[in-house]
Amino acid sequence: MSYVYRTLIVPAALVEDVRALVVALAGPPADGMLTVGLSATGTAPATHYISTGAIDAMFAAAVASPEGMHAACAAAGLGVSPAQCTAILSASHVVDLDSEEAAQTLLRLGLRPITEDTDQQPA
Amino acid sequence: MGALLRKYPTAGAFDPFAPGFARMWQDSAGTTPVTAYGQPVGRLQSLGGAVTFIQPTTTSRPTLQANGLVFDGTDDGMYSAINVDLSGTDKLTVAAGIYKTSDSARGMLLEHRAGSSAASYWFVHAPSAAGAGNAQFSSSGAFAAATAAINLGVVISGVSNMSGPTASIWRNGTLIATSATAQSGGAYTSDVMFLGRRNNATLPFNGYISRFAWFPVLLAAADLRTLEQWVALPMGLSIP
Repeated sequence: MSYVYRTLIVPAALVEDVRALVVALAGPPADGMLTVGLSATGTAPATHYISTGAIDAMFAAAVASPEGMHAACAAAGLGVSPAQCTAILSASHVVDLDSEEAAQTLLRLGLRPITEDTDQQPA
Repeated sequence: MGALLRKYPTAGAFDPFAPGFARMWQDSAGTTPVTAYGQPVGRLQSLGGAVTFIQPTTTSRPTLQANGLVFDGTDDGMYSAINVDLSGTDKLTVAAGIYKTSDSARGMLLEHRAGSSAASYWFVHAPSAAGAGNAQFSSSGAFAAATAAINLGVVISGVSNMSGPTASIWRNGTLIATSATAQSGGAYTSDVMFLGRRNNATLPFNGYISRFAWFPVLLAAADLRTLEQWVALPMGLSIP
């Protein structure tokens, strides 16, 4: 098994569709992707969602271009049009982790993770 | 360390530096072993085999590097495949080798009974808050912190006796702080253990985790030292 390492950042408006798409393409290993919310302030509501880390190398082409995404969808029997693939990738950010760490990507885009931190702490 | 694990078979001890990358797999099902640095770790088994951490989502798996397991501070984390049963004890010793690469946000290193608004939990986080520059051990409402800078390897130990009550933190074999705050709950529980992120959802740790282990007892001073020396060894730290 070989992997490529990517940061994927998807607008909140598209995230439900993209979550369903990645699970349809990659199966259970993609379940749970794109669940970390982002916003400019680090507080809700999320404007984007992020996943960063290893993805199976066979899906590298699917996140590299609309044509690659459409080909992967067609091979999986998914009814996703070329226009939909273009819309997803043009609105999203796909960054090779070998060229930029996720923290730098977030800094460049002006986005911060939304974290819940509500438990008790010492005074 | 072997003698300690034989003496306390319900302990959990994890070694990312085991020869041949033993007890680590790239996938959560355990079908593809880790064979080289740079690969994701989807399944991590304790030395005794009693506890297994998993991460089914590929992008949320930590990566094995020469320094240990790298957690990216964004979406990496693991959790025990089944509950870790600490019920029946109100005492705990935990130690971990850590190397923070950022102090910009609270990061959960290891946590049992996640959420900690209830009783009978414990966790180690580093830092305890954005910019805090520390590591902190907490047990059921008691907190003890030690300075821990970024980009510096450190062995952090937490020792708790709920009925004492005491909760102490040690750094590189030296006692740093003890809290005598009353701890609620009476005893620990059987719950999921989380590594690198609370509830596999939030407070992601940013840095490396080296060897780590917990024991459901108060280790004697000499045994605590043995544990800390075992954790420190691959980090190049010396704990006399």
